Amino acid sequence: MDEIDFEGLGKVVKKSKDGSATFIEVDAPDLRRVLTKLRLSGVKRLMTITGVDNGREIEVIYHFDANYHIVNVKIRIGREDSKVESITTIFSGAKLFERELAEMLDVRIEGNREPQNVFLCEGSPRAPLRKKDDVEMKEKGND
Amino acid sequence: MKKTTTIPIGPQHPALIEPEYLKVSVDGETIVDVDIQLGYIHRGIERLMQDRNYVQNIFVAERMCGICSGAHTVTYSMAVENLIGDVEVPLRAKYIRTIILELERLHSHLLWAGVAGYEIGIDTVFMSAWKDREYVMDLLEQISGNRVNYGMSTIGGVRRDVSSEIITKIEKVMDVVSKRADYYADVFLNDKVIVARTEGIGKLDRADAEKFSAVGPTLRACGFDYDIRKEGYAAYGDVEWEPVVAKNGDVQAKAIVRLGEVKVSASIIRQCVSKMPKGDIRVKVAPNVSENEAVARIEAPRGELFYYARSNGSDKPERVRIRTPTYSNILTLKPTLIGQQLADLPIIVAAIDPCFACTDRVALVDVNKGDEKVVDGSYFRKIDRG
Repeated sequence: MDEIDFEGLGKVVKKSKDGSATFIEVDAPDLRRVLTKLRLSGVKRLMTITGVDNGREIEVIYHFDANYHIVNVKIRIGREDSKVESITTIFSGAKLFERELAEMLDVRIEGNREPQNVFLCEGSPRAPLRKKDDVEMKEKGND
Repeated sequence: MKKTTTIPIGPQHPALIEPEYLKVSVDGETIVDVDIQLGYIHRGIERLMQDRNYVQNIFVAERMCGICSGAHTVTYSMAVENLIGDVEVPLRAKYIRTIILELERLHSHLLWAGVAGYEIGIDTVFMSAWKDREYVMDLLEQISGNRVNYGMSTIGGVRRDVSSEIITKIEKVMDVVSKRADYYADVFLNDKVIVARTEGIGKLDRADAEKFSAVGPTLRACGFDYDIRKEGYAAYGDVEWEPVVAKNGDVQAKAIVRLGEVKVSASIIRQCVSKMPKGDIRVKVAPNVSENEAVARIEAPRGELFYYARSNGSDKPERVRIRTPTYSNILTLKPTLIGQQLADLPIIVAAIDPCFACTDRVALVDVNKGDEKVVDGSYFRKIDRG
């Protein structure tokens, strides 16, 4: 595998102390372009997708395995009408991870052909990993 | 007129650790399609971790899995240590972590060999492998006080030391286990019945393994020389070992990789106990962690186990994300099952070692007539054993 040009992919936020992981941030509309570039540079395995609700926005982090190096590509999307483009055509392994992101954080995945839930059943709390207003949580008896 | 029949398998089974649901379409005895549904044992652990402090979460992480509990605590501890940034885990603690992780791999792979024997109808292998597994379980109990949740790893090191008396016992057990691994490898390669049930069965192509993000023995059975232990976390950088790789990608290859790894694990443990330095086993860390994000991964018995952690300055994590090996391997089940015989389904599914094996109660649905009948496990074992 060729050496990956992290600077050419997006803004390198940080590298882990032991050098085993790189954190990159890109703009949401550039996601598919950057990931295609990553795929062409020889990165074949998507490890998982993490969604984080930080209270202001939703961060979606794509973790890739690049021959004993972890590449973390982060995008930020709004909390209202949250949506990301599907990457299943670039990384087939994203199928389940995208569906999980959708159900856990109420993020719409544009282009994933199997939108049904992976883990949550009917009657489960909606988007359990979203930060909820304390009052709303108490009313629903969720806390 | 449609020829296929749909057979729902699962999700409930009294003997299953993890209930899952497989909707299998068959044409005669041949599997033509399979739909896998997860989530029957979803416990919301990632959400739970946001409400517990970093130390409490060690014990939550430990309860992710009944087999790789040690792998979860070590990875969680590593993720939090990476979050804090300047934690120097003592060398002795790194060696103890390695010993626990490898003992866990030993008992997990021996358990798998037994389950594989059971699934192909040879209970002698099941009983024999599980008997040998007990030697390892006894060691784990002597080291940690527990057979399953060891409570060994913590943030900044380990919670208990390994005494010199136990080290003598470890060396003896490693000799026994290595010999038994050779014996089981010989059985899986040469026993006619086992070869007939495993060779060429449930073959995963190299391309599919890569495409569907396979990890661990499932990946290495397809010819990929890729083992996260090569990153050198814990004490793996200090010991001599090589990953076990097989080519065929079938059930037999997966068995050979796991049994080979039993020998490798025994060798790693032997090297660790002989090289283990004296000294502290943990360093104290502050309860609050300033804002940061970090990742950690290890090679658990079933493959790569990945943690992502985010801190916000308090004593509780903002977010912990866990990707277990089976979650990554589950997509490979579909390409391995299609075109296979229905009776081979239990062993093919068990070959990725997903903690669930067969099924006690299935409903057979004839899609043409809409008829449905429920049968018990004896029916499935009957067709499984031909």
